[in-house]
Amino acid sequence: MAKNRSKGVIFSQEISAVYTPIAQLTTLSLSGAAALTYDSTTLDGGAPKTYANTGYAETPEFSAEAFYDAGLSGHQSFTDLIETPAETNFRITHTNTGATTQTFATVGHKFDLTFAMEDGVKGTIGGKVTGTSNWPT
Amino acid sequence: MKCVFTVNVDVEAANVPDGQKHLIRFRTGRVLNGLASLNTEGLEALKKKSNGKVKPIAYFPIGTIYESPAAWKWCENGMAKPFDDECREAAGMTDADVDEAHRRFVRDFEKGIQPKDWALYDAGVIVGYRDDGSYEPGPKWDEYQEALAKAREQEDDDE
Repeated sequence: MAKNRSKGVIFSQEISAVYTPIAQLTTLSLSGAAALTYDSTTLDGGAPKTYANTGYAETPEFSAEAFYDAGLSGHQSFTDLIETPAETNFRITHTNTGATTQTFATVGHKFDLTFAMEDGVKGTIGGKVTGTSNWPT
Repeated sequence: MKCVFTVNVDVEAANVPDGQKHLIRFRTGRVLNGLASLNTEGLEALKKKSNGKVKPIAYFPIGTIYESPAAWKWCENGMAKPFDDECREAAGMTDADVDEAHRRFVRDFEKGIQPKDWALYDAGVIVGYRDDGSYEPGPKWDEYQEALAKAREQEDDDE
């Protein structure tokens, strides 16, 4: 058991089979994963409602913010996925001692660009995981 | 076009072209920490020994020459050097540019230096972080500390 730092986490995009780290990230999140449920409450049941698993799982969306460099091929490779949509693998290399890796396929890539007076140029990338998120087991 | 990797890079084994699959090696942890590097036979032996609990990670070790239309991107990213003229031309980088990109890659990904500490790392004041997050002193650490102390003294004198 350990409290691992976020510092040092690596988020890579698969480009021609090679996991290529995305530079200048400041945040990374993977959210929305859930085992799906249905309301299983019945008229003859007790007061508390009950739920049961449907057997399906919602996949998470990933999101990461970066200091965006329009001239960097590593950043261009991500925005290429918007102009030419393609299912693409991404990999998180965790910061635990064993540097656990978590790889998932993604679709629906998106990108937001922000210019602000009191900050550097920031880009936020995102996408939807399709299939297993390969949570470490 | 071809490049030669100057760092160990993870790969998606299934997507490596058939003609280049022989370049793949496997590891069971962070290569950078010097953990075992295995060829296919070694991996099979380890899997058998661990009753299938080992989760191999495919990678290309430093020095792997890889052919891909994206080869120039890895040069720009600091992970590789051009191996042929086609790649050199596509990357449009001088040898100094390639070395500088590699230095930045090591700083940002292998050493995990945060942007706020880039100036200290680039100046040789620090070479990385200790496990507790404190600075790992570099060759210019003492010089930097002396300069800081002098600056503090100067501030005190001014007051």
